[in-house]
Amino acid sequence: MEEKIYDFWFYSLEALGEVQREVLLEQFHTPKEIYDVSIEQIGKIIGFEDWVLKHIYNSRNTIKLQREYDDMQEKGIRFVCCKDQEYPEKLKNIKDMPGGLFVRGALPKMEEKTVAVIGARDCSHYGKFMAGQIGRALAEQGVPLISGMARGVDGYAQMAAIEKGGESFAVLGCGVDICYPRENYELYELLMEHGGILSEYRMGTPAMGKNFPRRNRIISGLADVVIVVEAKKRSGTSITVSYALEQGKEVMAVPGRVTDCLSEGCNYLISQGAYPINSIEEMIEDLGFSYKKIKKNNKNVKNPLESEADLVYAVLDFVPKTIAMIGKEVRENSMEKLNALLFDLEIEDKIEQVTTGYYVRKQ
Amino acid sequence: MIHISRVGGNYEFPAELMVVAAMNPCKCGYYPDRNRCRCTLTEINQYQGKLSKPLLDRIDLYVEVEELEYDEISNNNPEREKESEKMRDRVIAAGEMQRKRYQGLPYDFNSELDTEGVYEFCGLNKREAELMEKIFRKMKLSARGYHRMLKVARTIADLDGEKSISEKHLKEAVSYRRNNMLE
Repeated sequence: MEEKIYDFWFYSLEALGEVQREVLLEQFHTPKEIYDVSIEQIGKIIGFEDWVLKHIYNSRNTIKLQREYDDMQEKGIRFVCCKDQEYPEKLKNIKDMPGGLFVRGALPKMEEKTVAVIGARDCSHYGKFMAGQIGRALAEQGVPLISGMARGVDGYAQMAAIEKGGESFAVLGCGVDICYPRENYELYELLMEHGGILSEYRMGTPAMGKNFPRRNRIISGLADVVIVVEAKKRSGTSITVSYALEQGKEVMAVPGRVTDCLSEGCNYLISQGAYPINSIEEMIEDLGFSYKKIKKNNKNVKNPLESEADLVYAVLDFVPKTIAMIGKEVRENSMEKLNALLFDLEIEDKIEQVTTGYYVRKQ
Repeated sequence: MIHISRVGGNYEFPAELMVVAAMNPCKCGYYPDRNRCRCTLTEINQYQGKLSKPLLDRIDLYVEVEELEYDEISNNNPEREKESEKMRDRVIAAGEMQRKRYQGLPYDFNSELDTEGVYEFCGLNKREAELMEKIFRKMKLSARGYHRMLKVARTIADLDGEKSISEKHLKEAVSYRRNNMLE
């Protein structure tokens, strides 16, 4: 077998942690030697339990490994192990660093500042809106956006960044050849071209719940700053945040209303010392960039005589409202008129319906 | 009328009915109030997916019903009854208008129009046709949806006692069409 394949075998062994890898390398020097040495000899080392030995033993299948490696090559999937030059420098500083990463597309350039945007899967429209705003703002500054390609905040932020011409990288909890969740297929395809898809799990590894918390350490590890958009108090997001704090990363959070359970996590983080994101401009400046864009909203402010459509638009936010609720707020009783106004706003793409008859503001 | 065409033959089943149905947006019933509804999007899609889209596409009018305030439940508002009476008069007038329009034709009401009927009686002027094109693209209407929406717009125009379908009728018809971002 080629040396690359020995590396691939050794550094992608799920049973081995960073410490165990080092112990083995110290004893036997190279992955090739570890591959060839008898399992009893490894068993003599303290700290290698039977199941680990068994896992190592079973994984030594030259034919299978060769086939898997060829298959990877065919699919354009690379394996970057931690001794490769390409391996992200930032990951070397984290606890339990992955032995290697499977990569589809590219790896983030490590001299650049990178930001992770994470949050609830079942986010509100406010979360969706903020994820989009942040994703776009980062793309405009040329900041690579790291996330988990999950439903909700992750996906919305990554999609927005790519649509704005930015770069984004997804760290998956399954093999890089698997698109999970499936509904993000479009994003998955786009990520390959405008960034990359990374995972420490081998090809074909299905999405398993137990892998997701662990992959979060890579998300925070690859980033310099972690931004939390919306999160309940106890969630997958809080796992990523604790990794981020352990790794000494900066954490920022989007504040929300006290009554929204999806903002509880963020508000709590802020009370614990996370930077609140008071505005997109401030966020960009806090990240150490100068905000280039001129405020766009000036036009609307200048016009003192608001049209009826503007009035309707103004009462809409991210809490879905029915036509009757809107009518009460703008003091308009004519359903017909309201309907026409809402219609116009919708066809102009300023608002949308989340479910029939419930309107929210669109970005 | 239900037409079934298969290799074995063609069958026609006469059918004439009005379906009125109600459902919840999700299994807890609170969506889209995200403070109370903790259903995941998958669950909501699953719940709403119990009814097939082709079936839903055949439903002409969708109306969201909001929660009632205490006052609205506890008081029997006589004003409302009057509103209903007025509405009934309009409905009767619109029905009359349709009967007159379709005299000597195989239709009684707008809902019974077939494709040719739609072309003949739900025709649009230039401005309205342009708007309809926008709607068609934006809402990604099916052929069935397109025809049904025109019939609804025709009916709204009838309720207003107007001869031709205008922009506001189309806009109102849009608001009754199912529009679901979840899918």
